[in-house]
Amino acid sequence: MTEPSGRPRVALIQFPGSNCEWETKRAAESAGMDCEIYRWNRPAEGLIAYDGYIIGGGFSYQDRVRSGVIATKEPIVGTLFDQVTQEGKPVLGICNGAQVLVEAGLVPGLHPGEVEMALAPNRPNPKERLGAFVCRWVYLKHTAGHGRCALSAGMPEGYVWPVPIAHGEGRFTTRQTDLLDQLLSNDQVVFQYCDASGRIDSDPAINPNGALANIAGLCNPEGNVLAMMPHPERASYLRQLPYELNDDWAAQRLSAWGNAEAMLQPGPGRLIFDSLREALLKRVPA
Amino acid sequence: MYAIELLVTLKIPDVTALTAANSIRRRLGYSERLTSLQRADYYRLELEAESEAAALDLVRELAQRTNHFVNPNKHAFTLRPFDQRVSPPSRDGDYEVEVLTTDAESDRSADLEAALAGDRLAQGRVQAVHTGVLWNLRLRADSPQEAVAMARDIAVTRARDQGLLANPHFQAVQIG
Repeated sequence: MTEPSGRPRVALIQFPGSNCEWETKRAAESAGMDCEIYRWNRPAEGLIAYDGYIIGGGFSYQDRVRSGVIATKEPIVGTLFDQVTQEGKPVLGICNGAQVLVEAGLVPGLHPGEVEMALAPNRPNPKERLGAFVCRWVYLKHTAGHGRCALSAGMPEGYVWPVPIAHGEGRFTTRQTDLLDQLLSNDQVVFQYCDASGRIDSDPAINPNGALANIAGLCNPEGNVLAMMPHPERASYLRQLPYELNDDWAAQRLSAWGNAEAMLQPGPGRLIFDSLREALLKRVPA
Repeated sequence: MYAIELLVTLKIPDVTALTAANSIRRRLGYSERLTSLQRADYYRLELEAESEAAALDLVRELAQRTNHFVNPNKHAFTLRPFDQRVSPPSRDGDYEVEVLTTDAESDRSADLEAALAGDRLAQGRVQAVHTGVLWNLRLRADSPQEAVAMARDIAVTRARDQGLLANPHFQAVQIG
């Protein structure tokens, strides 16, 4: 339940192998939420007390068998599934969290519980013949309509922002031939990889893992579940943005050089956490 | 042309197989049915040779003397001609079923073929390499047909609480 302070309570689910929980907790708290790290082996029904959920990045169960799949079988994900599908509570899955949500059948969620997609191994860049793991900054375009997804509602449609990725299995794909058309017609494609100008192209320099239709983030039809491979918590403060981007954010960071307070101003990723907070406050008025 | 299967396993306990077995037993309802689960990196080499014995010798030499398939510090390997298995043999009332998962879009096969094309031992005799993960499930069942049906249920992830070993949206599954 929402705290007396008016700050919504969020459970950040930690599996063995999660490794982004502390920076994700800090980003959520900076956005005005109380965020508690909730270990996977605590009683699953304890999740019911929270207003919303985050599953962060890492390598749950060491990515054994396939990224995210072992975690989905745990009772805690069963409770999460019920809270999300029956109570409409919001959940944000970042990187490994996105893999868990896809393997749990929550995203794309046309038939909740059915696995309708995969986050497959990245397609290597044929020009570079590098290994499949990619770790760099990319640009995303907010392609869903304004307010379509509760967890990106703070972003205007068409918003282009820089954010880091770090994954080896992040290629959204499916063998259901008509699924992409359904996702597009339902406006469930929340983020697509693009260049700094917002141009969406299949060039590996822009689409770093070969994802279907450059998909970087998808929501469910109800808009209360967002699975995204990039890490917004790593772009939550201005100080996290690299100078090398050579864009407005880099210019802002350069101008903040030597000013600790300015460096702590929000980065573009904070909008995801702001959106989550607003979604929670709408559900449970303070 | 001969086809030889090369199965590469860990010398130490395979934690991936142990975790998968634990999940299948505790979360997918096979606690009384799954007796054991083992995993191997799977390679099927199609190669030119004078005889099946010569083909086996060549693949054994490639496994032992190159670093394309086996790291002898941590791996053991076995060889067998392709398609000589009978499905599914019974042992002590259990049936052994093999599940091969493959990723058709993986570059691993092409990389190996390219490496072997220039390999001094292979001498251009290896025409193709197929890769995957081979799971060996030992299942308590009343018939081979039931064992195969259980293996399929365990293998193919169709829903959150159904299947584990392969996501059909990028992986193919062969059971036999």
